[in-house]
Amino acid sequence: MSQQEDLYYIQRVLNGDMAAFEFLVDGHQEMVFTIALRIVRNREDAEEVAQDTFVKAYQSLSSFKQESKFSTWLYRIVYNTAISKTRKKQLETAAEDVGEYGDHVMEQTVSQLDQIKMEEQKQYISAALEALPQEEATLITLYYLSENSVEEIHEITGLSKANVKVKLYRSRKRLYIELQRLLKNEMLEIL
Amino acid sequence: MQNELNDKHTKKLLQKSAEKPSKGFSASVMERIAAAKEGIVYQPVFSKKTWFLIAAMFVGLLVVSFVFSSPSAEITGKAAEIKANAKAIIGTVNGFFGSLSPTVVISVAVLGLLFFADFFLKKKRAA
Repeated sequence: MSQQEDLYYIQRVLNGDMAAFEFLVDGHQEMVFTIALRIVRNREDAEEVAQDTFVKAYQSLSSFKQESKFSTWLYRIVYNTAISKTRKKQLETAAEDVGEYGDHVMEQTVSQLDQIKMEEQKQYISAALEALPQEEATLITLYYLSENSVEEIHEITGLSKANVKVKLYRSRKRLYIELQRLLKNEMLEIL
Repeated sequence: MQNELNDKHTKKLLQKSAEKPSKGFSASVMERIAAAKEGIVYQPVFSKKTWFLIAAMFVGLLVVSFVFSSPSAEITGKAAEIKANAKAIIGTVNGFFGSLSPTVVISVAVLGLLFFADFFLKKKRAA
């Protein structure tokens, strides 16, 4: 859903057309649910967090100042709601370095994944994301799936821009290492 | 580092990781919003006043059972008179229920309890 469409429906809601909010829910439910799932790690809880997020967004829609994108504002709500749900002040994160690897590892992983069925590819990626600490899985989801900028991720999470970059870099490395591990295990099982 | 982050491989991979909520998700959200908008507030089944009434009845029952379990010699004057009157009333009630079969008595008691519960459960109202 484009920013312009968002603003159109927001205006309708603010003018008293409650049903127009359903268009916003339809347009953003997948990303809101995915972000919630990366943090709470459980589909049932993620659904509850996603619902709470939309109810909160509806109730405070008049406070949305349009200084940022509606999606950025919405993701900040889901991020905070999901963290409150986990009852932790900070998300679980891994500090240790994951070692060096080159572009060839990425290319090799992607080409290996391309050789298997789409449904299985999705399972591997989900399993690798689940193996990552919550914060890292959330950051790479925001950056690569939702295509938020570093600036927007800083707005959503409250992390400094430099910190977002470092963590994104590390998360991406860890994702490939995890995928390689999962694919190796698969190969060993086949052999 | 920024350039390094913008790689097409990871983007391609992550595009496959989107998750979908359950089918009725939008409808559930809209239902919750509608309910919140109407401001439906569920009141407790028993109000404070009712709890005080129940507590008073319980205390009364304790007092009555204490009075009737005491030997007659210890109660004198007005208290003895009240006790005698109460005994007469209880005797009448016992006589009436004594003439009925236990099944009828239990049925009447259960029906009474159901009417009582129904009355309080209907107290849920929109604020």
